[in-house]
Amino acid sequence: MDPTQARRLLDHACSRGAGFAELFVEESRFSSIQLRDRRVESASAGTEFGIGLRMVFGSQVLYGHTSREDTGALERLVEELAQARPRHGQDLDLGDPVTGRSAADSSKAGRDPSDPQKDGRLAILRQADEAARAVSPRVVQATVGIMHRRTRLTIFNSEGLEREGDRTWTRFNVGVVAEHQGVRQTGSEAPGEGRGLEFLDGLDAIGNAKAAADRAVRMLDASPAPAGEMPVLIGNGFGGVIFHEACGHPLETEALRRKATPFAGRIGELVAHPCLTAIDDGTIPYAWGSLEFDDEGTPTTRTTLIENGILRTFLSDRIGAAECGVPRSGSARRESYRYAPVSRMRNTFIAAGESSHDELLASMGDGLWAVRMGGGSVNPATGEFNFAVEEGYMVKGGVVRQAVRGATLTGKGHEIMPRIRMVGRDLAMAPGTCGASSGLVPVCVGQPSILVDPILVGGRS
Amino acid sequence: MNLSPSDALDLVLDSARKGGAQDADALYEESESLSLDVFEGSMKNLERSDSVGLGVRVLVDGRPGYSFTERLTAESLRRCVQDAVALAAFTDPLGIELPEPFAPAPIDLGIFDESALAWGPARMLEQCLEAEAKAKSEDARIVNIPHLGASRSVGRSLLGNSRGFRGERKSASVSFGIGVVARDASTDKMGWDGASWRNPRAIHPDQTARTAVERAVGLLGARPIAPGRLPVLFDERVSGQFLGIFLGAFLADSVQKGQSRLVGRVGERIAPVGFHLATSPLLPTMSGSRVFDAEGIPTARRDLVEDGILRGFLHNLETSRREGIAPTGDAHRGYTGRVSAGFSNVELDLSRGRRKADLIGQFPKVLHVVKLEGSTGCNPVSGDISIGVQGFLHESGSVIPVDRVSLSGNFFDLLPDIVGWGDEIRPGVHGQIVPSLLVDSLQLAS
Repeated sequence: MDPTQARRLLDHACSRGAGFAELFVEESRFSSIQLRDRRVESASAGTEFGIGLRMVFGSQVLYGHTSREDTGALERLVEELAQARPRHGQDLDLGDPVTGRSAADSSKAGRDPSDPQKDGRLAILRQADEAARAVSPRVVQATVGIMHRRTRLTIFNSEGLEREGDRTWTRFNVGVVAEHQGVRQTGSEAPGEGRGLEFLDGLDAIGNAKAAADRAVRMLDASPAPAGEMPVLIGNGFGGVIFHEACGHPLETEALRRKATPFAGRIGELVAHPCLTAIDDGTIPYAWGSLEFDDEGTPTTRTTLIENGILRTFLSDRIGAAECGVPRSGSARRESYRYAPVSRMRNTFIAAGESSHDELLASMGDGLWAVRMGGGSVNPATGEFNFAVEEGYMVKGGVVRQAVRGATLTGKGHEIMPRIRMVGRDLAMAPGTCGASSGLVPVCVGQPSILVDPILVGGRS
Repeated sequence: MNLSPSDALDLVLDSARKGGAQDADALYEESESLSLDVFEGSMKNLERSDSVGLGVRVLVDGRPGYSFTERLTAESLRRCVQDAVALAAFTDPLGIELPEPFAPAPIDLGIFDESALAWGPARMLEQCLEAEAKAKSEDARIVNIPHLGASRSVGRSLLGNSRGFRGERKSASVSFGIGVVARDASTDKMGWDGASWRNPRAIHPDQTARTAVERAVGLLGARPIAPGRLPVLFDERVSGQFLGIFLGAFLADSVQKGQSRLVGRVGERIAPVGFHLATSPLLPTMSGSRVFDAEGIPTARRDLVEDGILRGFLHNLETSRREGIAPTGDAHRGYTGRVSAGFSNVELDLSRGRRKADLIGQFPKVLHVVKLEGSTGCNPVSGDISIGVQGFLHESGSVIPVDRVSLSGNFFDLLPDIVGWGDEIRPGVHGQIVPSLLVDSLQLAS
């Protein structure tokens, strides 16, 4: 969009009473290729394009978007929003303006996909597919894929900001189904980074495929998990999904604004075991959830949320920061031009502790080792969560015994935090997609192995 | 400059032919919506959206290639077709024939009602405030109303293929919902009510607020109960959601790839006598209603389970050809994605449905489930169930609210154990005609 046209629209928006106005112009190119059982199951490409307009009146946010870029359509949008605004609402000082001009550095975007044969994607997928199948005759299906997204965006605001961005993401995925005597188990891996196809150069696609297939095959012999309260050692990496869901979301100002968080009013208080420090970091180079600047143009930061058990701050966007009186963390994010930005996580993790794996197992005694977590859900207003264990083992007297399947972990996030009583050294991160009111955004979850004592396990035996 | 929808379709289908595709189909979609939400007496957010997009599938020597664009300029549409043609080189031939044009039956499905458009922000706000006031005054234990909002949307889609098929579908809907938090000495509980409708006259803020409050307050004091096997009644609020986790087993694609426990079971009994499960695309007002599917095939109601016997699966052109059967009209597609198949409204026959009190009274002890806590412990392929639930234990006349328990079992094993169902469905136009389901029995852990 031409900057003069953008300025004119923003001026128009402010002349209709908006205290702040912003345009988010985005064009994204998607490319994905997926192989199932040696065949290219799908190959697709696409272009998303649209313009989001935000007008802020006090603490009221009016947001509109359109895929039509003619001036008439955009002027109409300003008018429609202005007319739809209800008359009353409190005043809100948004604080220091976010200004500056910067052009995108396209060299950082890396290699774009071209022909899947020539750019190497098909070869990697074929190798991974074969590697997964070679693990065991019990592997009955393998699906492997690569997706790439490149987003070019410009943010203009009424304070004078004009910031261009060029962001890329590449991700590999493998899913394996194993079967034996009517029992089916699945295993998956999905590493990804915030860069172009050069991510694939350093990727161990075969190793990932084998790991997914191994897990699916191992779990075929698992017995049903027991049920009841018990100590649980939650494995590193994707295990961080529990912290993400049960504590991360309630630590966003979007929850605090609605008082829909058990952490409201608790800054400076002990909310977790003193062994626990948790960080949300948007600055890790090439990490799946990193950003140079957030979707309001604020430079991103590394934010310590909980330090030695004490709650330090919340993740904020500009409105959340102003309304809730917390510092800006550069966490305003949105899936695309279709969404108004709100505070969201980036790369969220529990910091590494001191304990070795053996110490954790020994300290647990009898319990469940949840090596690999599956997905889950949480109600941020009440903190209630529920997560599946994808790979688990029973532990007796500190010794790992039989594999178990079908376990779920249930509880309330803020109640679990004080029960994390030991933290391992083996911090690892895992990419994922997080869904909330501003859509699906790429994030990392992460943690070292942690011992939670106790937690409710739901199982079948 | 953006092209008109029909010009865009013509250009895409024509470019596909010129680019080397023997056949192509394209889906244009546009939607316009307005939504607002309210917190503590004032509007917090208002959103207005206006989006368009077009997706094309080309068939080059039978090989499919897909692409989409949200920029409907001639240049972007041509690039979209080029991408699709280039990608087709890597896929395997489907061997399908796109359908010839047909004249859709002149049925008014009642899915487009102009009155939805007249529901403006001022009225939405007024009704939200009414619900908020009602919820607050209804019960002193309501401490927060974090979710309260209204929305309306209008959508239009246009499907065309290179054989000359053109079909249009227009729909409009309104939604209203409220989520409240109730608190007592020990717990916070969330209660929600809301629904989508075709006409804003169906929205009753007072009633919606009252129901949300009842639901939140009803669960206060909930606690775990002793583990064991017991009969479970899935309320109609959650039965559709519960069933929905496993309905992928009815997709022919899953069956053909060995990803369904129903492989090879057509003609066998999988559910009790009297149990009919259908895809029902011609139901009035429902969200999944349509007269042609996403590949231009006429739709019709079809029993997949008839009186407990498995009769068939959901097909698109690709899967029906593989099985050598006539197209069934179950194809689904959005402009950004590929053709799949699915239910066009799920209909579980309500005849022989009973009142909820009768269902509960059938056993001395029944867990009445009103809330599911995520489906990630459930495996749609194996049918394994491990899911957290909240609800009420009915035992010899007493009723106890229950939480922090989980249910386990296997969906395909419990289907024959369905011993009764209700006579009501969840209000709204959500496309799930699914009554409450009584299962004897499931394993409960706490």
